[in-house]
Amino acid sequence: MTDCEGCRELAPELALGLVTGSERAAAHAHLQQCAECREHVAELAGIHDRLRDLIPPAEPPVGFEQRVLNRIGTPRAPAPRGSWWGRLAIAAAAVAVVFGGGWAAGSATSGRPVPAAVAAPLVAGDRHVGDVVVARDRPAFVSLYLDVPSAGRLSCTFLRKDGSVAGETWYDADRGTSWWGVALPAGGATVRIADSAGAVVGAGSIPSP
Amino acid sequence: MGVRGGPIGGSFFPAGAALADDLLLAGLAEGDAQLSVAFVRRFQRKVFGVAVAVLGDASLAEDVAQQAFERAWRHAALFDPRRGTVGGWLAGITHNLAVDVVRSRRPAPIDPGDIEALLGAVTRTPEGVALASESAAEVRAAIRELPVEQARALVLSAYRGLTAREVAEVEGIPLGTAKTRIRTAMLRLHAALEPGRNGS
Repeated sequence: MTDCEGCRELAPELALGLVTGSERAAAHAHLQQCAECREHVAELAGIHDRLRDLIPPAEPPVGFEQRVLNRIGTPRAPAPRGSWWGRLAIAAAAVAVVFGGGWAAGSATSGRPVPAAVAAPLVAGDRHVGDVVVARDRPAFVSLYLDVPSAGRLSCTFLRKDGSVAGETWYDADRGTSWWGVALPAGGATVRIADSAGAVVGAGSIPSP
Repeated sequence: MGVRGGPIGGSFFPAGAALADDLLLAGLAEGDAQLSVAFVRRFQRKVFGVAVAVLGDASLAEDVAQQAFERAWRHAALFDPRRGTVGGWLAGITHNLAVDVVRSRRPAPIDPGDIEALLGAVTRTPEGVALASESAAEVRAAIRELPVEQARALVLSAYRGLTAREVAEVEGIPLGTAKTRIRTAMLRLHAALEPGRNGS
């Protein structure tokens, strides 16, 4: 087995991954038993990480992105920026952040896609102005995305299927794009968002996860 | 009866806020199409940059870069945020794959110009200084302080994955000298970048 002196001598090469075979095995046997040497090698490995970070990025060949996605079996083609799906992604992640949900848990073995959230559009007239997003693991919570036309208090009214009011909440929004979350009142099937003058600025159904 | 409350405390997220890297990685692992796209878009230039820097060949680099993303997808659960960033983890995967390819193709001649080019690339402050982190600037400065023969040994070993013996062959120097150059370069960087923690 390597001793501390030998390990120190070899540490830079160990950290760079240049040591192989029996020499590597002996060094690792020592590292398992010597915290000080282990820490030293780890620090040098950290230097290697920082060196690697200096490598300038480079533009991959045309079509690279799609070839990667094909390789990992991702089924859908990329959506344009600001799309419904992009919003869904942001909303779903927002939900995960709010509740510390399962997104960050990561599961490399979960197989084919089961979207973590579902979404439905918010519309104003014939315009798509936002999205309603419900996370699968949080079906009683709704994330609302809206392109707010002007700053002010918005009312969010949840309606049952029969048109009766299931619940109502308010949100003081700035002009522009906004997210907020709200508990879904029991029976809420649709949501209607109106400005302080009562004009509907967005309406849509609550998607069922 | 309303579910009053105005804005829900802590649950407001400005649209357009960038998703954290680890959330994108989680989305990739889950097979979420759009988060996978976002993940690849965010990191493809970094990954390809590492691959092409090590391999010097765009075709080989693309294959390695694809493998790196596949490996990240398969092994996302192994990412430990306490041990570094997603970008660093992915760069490490890419680098290891690329070095494996280089090793499988040896002996292959190394153009001396490649060494100089790579050294220049990693020590040059990128366009748009605002993008250059303080940490990276420190590392660049530390490399610039190295004697040129140590810097070359560092490039060959840390970036191209050459063993001390291979560095010795490329540089036409004894094995002991190559080892000393690699070791001294790394310890100097360590001393410069982690002052007070140099246990050598």
